[in-house]
Amino acid sequence: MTKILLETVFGVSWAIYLGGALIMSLVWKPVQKYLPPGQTAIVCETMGRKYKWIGLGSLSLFALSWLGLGFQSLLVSKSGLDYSNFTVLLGAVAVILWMALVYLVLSMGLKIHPSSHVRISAVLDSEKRDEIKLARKAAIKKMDLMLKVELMVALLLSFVIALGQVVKI
Amino acid sequence: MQSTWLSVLASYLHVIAVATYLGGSIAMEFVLGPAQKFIPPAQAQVIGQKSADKFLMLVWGSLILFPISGMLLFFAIGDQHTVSGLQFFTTTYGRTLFAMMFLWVVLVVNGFIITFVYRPVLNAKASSKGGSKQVNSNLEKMQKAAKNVSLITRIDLGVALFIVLLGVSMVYGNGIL
Repeated sequence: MTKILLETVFGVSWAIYLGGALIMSLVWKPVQKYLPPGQTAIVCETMGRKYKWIGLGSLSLFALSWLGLGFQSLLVSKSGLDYSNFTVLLGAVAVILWMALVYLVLSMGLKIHPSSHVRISAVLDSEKRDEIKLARKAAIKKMDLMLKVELMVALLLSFVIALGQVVKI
Repeated sequence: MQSTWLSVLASYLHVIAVATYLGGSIAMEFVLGPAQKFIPPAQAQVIGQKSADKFLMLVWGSLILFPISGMLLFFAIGDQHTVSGLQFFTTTYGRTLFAMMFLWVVLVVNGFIITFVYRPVLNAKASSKGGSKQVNSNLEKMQKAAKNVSLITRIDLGVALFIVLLGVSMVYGNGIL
C-alpha cells in the first residue's frame, strides 16, 4: 500500500506541474490578446504569484515521493538495489531535467516575472521611463521563451517517466 | 520489443492526458479563475469564456485519450487474461478496472453537463431587452451557472484523483477494490 500511495503522489504531483505548464502555454498565452495590456499585466502578476508556489510545491512533492519510492525499494529488496545501466541512465537524465525545471521556475518566478511587472512612477523623467519600458518588454520576451523551454523540458521528462514506468512494470 | 515501445507510447499519452485533465483543472480553478476577479467584470467574462472554450477542448481531448491510452497500456502489458468473463466482477483487479471505467463515465457525463448545459448560459451575450428585471434574471442565471461549473469541476477533481489511485493500484498491484 505504501508503494501505491507513493506512486499516486508521484503521478499526481507531476500531473499538477505539467497540467499547469500546459494551461499557461495553451490557454492563458493565446487568450491574452483579448485583454488590454494593462489588464493582462494585472492577471499575469496575480497568477504568477500563485503559480510559482504551485509549481515549486508540485516539483518538490514529485522529488520527495520519488526519493520515498527509492527508499521503499531499498527496504523491500533484501540484496540491495540492482539497477541496470539503462535504469541508472534514465534516473540521471530525469534528475537533470528536474533540476532544469526547478531552475526555470525559480528564475521565472523570482527574477524575470517580477521584472516584467515593474510599475513606472510618475515622478521619473521620460528617459528613465523609456528605460524601464524597454526592460519590461525584454523581460516579457524572455518569459515567453522560458515558458516554451519549460514546456519542452516538462514534456521530455514526461517521456522519461513513461519509459521508467514501463521498465518498472 | 514492439510491445515495449507500444507500452512507452501508451504510458506517455496516459501521463499527458492525466496531466491535462487533473493539472489543467487545478490551474484553471485555482490560478486563472481567481485572477479574473482583479479585472473589470466585462473583461473577466471575455477571458473566462475564451479560456473555458480552449480548456474544454483540452478536457475532451484528454477524456478521449484516457480510454485509448489506457487500453493500449492494458493490452501491451498483457493483462487482458485477468479480466476475462466473470473475473471482471469477482476479482479485485476486475472490480478496480470496472470502477475506473464507471468513474470515467461520470467525468464524461459531467463534461457534457458543463459543455452543453452551463457553457451556453455563461456564453450568452448581455442584452438590455426585457428591462432591468430580465437583465437581473439573466445575471442571476449566469452566476448560478458559474457556481455550478465550479462545483462540478471540484467534484471532477476528486473523481480524477481517485481514478489515478485506482490506476496506480492496478499497475503496481492487483487493484484495491
